[in-house]
Amino acid sequence: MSDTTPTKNTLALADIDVDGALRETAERLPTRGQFLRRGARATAMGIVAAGLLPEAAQARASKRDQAKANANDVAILNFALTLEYLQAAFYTQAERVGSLHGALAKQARVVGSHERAHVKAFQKTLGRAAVKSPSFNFRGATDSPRSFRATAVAFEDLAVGAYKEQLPKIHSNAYLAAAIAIHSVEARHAAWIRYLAGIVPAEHAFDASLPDHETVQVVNATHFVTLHAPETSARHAPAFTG
Amino acid sequence: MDHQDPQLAANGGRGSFEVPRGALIKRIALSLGGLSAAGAAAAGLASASRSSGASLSSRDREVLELALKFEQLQTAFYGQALHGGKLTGQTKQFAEVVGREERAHLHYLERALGHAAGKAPTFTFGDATTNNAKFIAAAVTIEDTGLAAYNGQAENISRATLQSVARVISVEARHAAWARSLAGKLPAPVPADVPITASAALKSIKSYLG
Repeated sequence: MSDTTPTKNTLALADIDVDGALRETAERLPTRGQFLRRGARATAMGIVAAGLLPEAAQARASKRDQAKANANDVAILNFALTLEYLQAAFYTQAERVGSLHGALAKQARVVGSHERAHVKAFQKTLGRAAVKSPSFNFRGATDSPRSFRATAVAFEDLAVGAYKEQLPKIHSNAYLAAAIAIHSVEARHAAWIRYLAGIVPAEHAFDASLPDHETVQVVNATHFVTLHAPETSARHAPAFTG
Repeated sequence: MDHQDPQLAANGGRGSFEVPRGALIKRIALSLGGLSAAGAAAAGLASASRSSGASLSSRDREVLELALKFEQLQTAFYGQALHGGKLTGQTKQFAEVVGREERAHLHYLERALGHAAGKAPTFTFGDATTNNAKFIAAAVTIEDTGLAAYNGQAENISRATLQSVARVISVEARHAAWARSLAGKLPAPVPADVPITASAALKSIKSYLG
C-alpha cells in the first residue's frame, strides 16, 4: 500500500503522515454493525417499555441512546467536513495558481465557492466539535487544466459515493436534510466537470455508495493530505490576482 | 465551450484520469468503476427487492409511488423526444442515455413496490420535443424538479429505503447538471439543493398531463 519513501526531501515529513486526518475521522464513524445494534436496542426498548424496567432506568437508557446517536452524527459530519476541507482547498489553490481559463476557470470558481460554503456550514453546525482542517499538498494537480480536470472528476465522484454512504446512517433529520442537499450538489459538480472533461456525466443508472475505508484509502493514495494538526489553517482566501 | 458537438465518451471515468498521481487514478477507477454499472444496479435491486412489497411501510410506499410517477413522466418525455426524431448531436446522446437510465429507475421502483407501474398516463410536452433548444429547456425543468422532489422526501422515508433511493437521487442530480450544461446554464447554481414538497411535486407532474 503506502510507499512512505519520500520522492523529495522536502516532502519527507508530509509523507510519513499521509493517512492521518481522514482516517481519524473515519474511525469515529458508526459502523453498520453499530447501527444494527442500535436498531436491536430500540426494539429491546420497546419490549422494556411494556413494563419490565422501572421508568427511571428506561429514561437513562433512552438518554444514553440519544447521546450515542448524537455522537455518531457528529462523527459523520466531521468526516464530511474533512472531505469538504480537501475539496475546498483544491479549488481554492487551483484559482490561486491561475492555470485555468474559460469554462474550467468558471467551474473552479463556482464549485470552490460551494465547497467553501459546505465547510462553513459544517463548522457552524458542529461548533466546537468541528475538526480542524488538515494541511494539503496537491502535488501539481492544480498546475494544468488537464491534471486539474482529471483530479476534479475523481474527487467529485468520490464525494458522491462518500456522502451516499453516510446518508442512511444519519440519525437527526435536520442533519439528514442538510446532507442530502449537499449530496446532490456534489453529484451536480461531478456531472459538470465530467461534461467539461468530455465524459458522459451520468454514466450509470445507479450511483454506488463508497464504504468509508475505501474513501480513506483513495484519499490516502493521493498523498494530498499532509499534516492533520496544522499550526495554521491550510485555507486561505483565494488570490484572484494569481 | 466545444460546441462542435462531439459525443461524450462513455469510458467508465477511467480514461480521463491522467493526473500526476498514478495511484489515485487506479484506486478511484477501481473503487468507483468496479462498483458501478451492473454491480451497482444489481446491489441496488437486491436491497430494494429485499424491502419490497409488504415490508414497506405505508409512508415509504407513498413516497416511492410519487417517485414512480416522476420516473414515468421522465421516461415518457425522453421516449417521445427520441421518437420525434428531431434531436441531434449531444442533445440526442443526452436523451438516449438519460432516457435509458430513467427506464431503469422505473423498473427499480416497480420492483421495490412489488407491482408494475401499470399503464403510464398520457403526458404531453407541447412543442418541447420539436427541437434541441426547446427540448433541453424542458429537460432542465423536469430534471431539476424531479431531483427537488426526491430530496424533499428523504426525511420522510425510512433510512433503509433511503439507502436504496439515494442510488437514484444522485443520478437525477447528474441528469439535471448535464441538461443545464447543454442549456448553457450553471450546472450547480446553489451550494445546497432546495427541496420541494410532495404537493408541489404532484402539481408539477399534473402540468404535463394531457
